[in-house]
Amino acid sequence: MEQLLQLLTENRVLQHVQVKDWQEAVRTAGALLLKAGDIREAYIESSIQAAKELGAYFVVRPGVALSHARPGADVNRVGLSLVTMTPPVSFGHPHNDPVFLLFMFATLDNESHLDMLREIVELLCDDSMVNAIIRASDYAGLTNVLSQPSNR
Amino acid sequence: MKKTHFIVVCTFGAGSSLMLKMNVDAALKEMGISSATVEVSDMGSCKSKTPTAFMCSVVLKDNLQAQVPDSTVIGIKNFYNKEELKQALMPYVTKE
Repeated sequence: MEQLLQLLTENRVLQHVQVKDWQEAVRTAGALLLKAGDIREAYIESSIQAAKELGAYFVVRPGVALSHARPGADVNRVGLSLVTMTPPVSFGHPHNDPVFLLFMFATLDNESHLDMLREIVELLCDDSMVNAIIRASDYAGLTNVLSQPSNR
Repeated sequence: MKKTHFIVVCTFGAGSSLMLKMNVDAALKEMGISSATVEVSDMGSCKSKTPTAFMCSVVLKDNLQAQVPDSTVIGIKNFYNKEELKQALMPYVTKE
């Protein structure tokens, strides 16, 4: 998972965070991208606004959400952050709650993040990798999982 | 016969819909279907389109259906459940 290892630097990852609700989760993941210089502040509110308007459609599988806002607007460069939550948090999805892993990404257009997205898909297809990332206790544990070949 | 054409939809057409397209492509491949095409769209651009069926998160289904009242909209719960995807696709694809 070269792209993910490259993008998910230690300053873009927070593990076993305790948050009170999904909005705080998105703000936490967004703050990582903001601090890293990938986005401007408005990107975070746009991501929350989209979810407020349309619901938890971005909880793409049991336990995993993928948050983002419009490509280009308020984005400095392609970026990805990961927040793992203990305990897991309800995002309001009728089937896939609670959420353990929140990925948040930013992209410049509809294409520059495709390689990254392909690796996320590969990862999320593999239940054992997803569970290993949920369990990983620290950053080294995460990179260890991402360095292994997936079952796909 | 008109070719089977799916349009996968999310808010911006850049995240979950692209992700769903990758998984639908993989499911179609496993089903041995090579003629069906899968396009990605954002919510706002769906109105004028006439695919065999639209696909989106089950959470977006009612919202999308209201925008394309005369089209079929398939709501997907788990984008990573291959069986759910295959069963959803099955009625719309002809075995090759």
